[in-house]
Amino acid sequence: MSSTEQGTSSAAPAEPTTAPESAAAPEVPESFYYVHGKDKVVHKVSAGALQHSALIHGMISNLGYTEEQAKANPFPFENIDGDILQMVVDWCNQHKGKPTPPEDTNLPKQKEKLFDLVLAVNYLEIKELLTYCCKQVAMMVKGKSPEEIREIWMIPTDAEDEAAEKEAKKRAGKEAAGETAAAAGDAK
Amino acid sequence: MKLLKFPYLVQDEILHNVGYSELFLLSFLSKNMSKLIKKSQKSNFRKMVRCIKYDHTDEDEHMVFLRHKHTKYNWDVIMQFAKREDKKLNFNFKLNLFGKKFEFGSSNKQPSPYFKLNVFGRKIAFRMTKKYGQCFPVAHFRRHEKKSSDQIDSQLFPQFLRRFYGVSVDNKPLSSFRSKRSKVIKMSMMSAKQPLSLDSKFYQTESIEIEQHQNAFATTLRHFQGRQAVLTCFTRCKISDLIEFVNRWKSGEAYHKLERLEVGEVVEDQNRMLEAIGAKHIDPAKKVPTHTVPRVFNRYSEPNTKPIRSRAYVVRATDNRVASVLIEEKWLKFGVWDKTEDEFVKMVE
Repeated sequence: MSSTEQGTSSAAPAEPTTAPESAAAPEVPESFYYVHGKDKVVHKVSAGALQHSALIHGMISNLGYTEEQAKANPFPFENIDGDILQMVVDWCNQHKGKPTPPEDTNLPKQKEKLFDLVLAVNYLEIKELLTYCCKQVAMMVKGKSPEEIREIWMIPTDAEDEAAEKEAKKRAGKEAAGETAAAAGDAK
Repeated sequence: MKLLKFPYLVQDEILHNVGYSELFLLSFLSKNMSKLIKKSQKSNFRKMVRCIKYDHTDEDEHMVFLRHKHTKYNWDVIMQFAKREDKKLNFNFKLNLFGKKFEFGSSNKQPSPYFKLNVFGRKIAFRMTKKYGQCFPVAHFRRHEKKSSDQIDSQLFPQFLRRFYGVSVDNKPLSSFRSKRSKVIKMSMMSAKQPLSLDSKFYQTESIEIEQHQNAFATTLRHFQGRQAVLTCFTRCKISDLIEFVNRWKSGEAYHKLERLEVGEVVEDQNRMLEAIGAKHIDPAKKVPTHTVPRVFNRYSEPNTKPIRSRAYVVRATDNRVASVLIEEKWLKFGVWDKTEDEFVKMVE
């Protein structure tokens, strides 16, 4: 007799058998929360999956939302692109309640996507995923020449840094002058 | 992807995953990058790195290796200094075999292009290479630049380490061993055929592991005043040098601090060699004594030297102390006991 059949027959009135403890204990219903990114697409995520994010975990730990309340109040992450948030949610779901493996090969290969993912993950404080992403970013420059590294990581030259600094100073000066002029106008 | 725009914690995490070869190259990219590496890596180095090794085995190719604390045997190649090839060698050729054309050759891959870095105000040509399963930069010098190559070789990486990790590393030219006595020296001196000056403190180093040419090897063996040594001769050791070493130890003329010595390669019949040094033998019915002492240089986290198990021994005339002698796999192993001959013989009974 297969285990399924045994299960079916035990459903019929009979001598109660020793059931596993987990089956006997009343199951706590899993709570869900809702998040959305820049694209306003709402993702339903379990509290278990969201535990990976220290930021969200901190936010929800004392909320005690009902399902309806949670649905009505999705967490907005306007600074994260929709597809990136989707990746994060997928990762959290995949690794829910599991020990994280030493490597993750499912990270995006395109550098711009990886860049956005790094920023999102850092913001959401998902430590393990951040570690994977940073390893992947580091791997991008393995065996590359300095100019290739410069291109991949967009590292400006000293001349470009100096020019940017001058430009920033000039802009700050202009803004300060504008503020002074506005203040003088107000005083009049 | 603008690395310098990332939050510092992210930059730090990324740089912790970047190899030292890449960090070395990155440090040349810009002042801001250099500052970031310095900030991120300063505390990292001491925690992570066990030691740096400079290998001068080949006259034209010097290597810089690094070993991490968490790895026991693996060395990471950080960079290399090599002679620049002026002509492109092409070993590829085609052969017509059984009516089909086959292409043969050393490699179809083109070497990576040169890039120049400004090192101490001098433009040095580098090229990335992949060897031993690792990628690393190679600083290339033409033959006439040899002198400056040696200068850069001895300064470049220590400067990098000092600047970015606040760590001082001795990679002094051999002549400068005169001024300071080190506890441990491990090096290969294939490019140096002449022995070090006899004034050098090198000979007083407590523990040395060195590979040398015959001439330099004989001088090191003759003048070593430390406790433990592994001396490798690139050619065969002269038996007369080894006999002289044992006789000088036996007479008490030299090697007063010696605890253990290994020399190779010895191509000599063990019995003839033992006869030549006047070795005595422990009765085969008695147990074989095992000589081992705490290592001065704890190379592989092994606290003690490899055991010498031998029934042959020699006795020092001045204090009756014993040394085990073993010739095994082309190595002469010599272990000095803290025991007189009487104590030694009693020990094995």
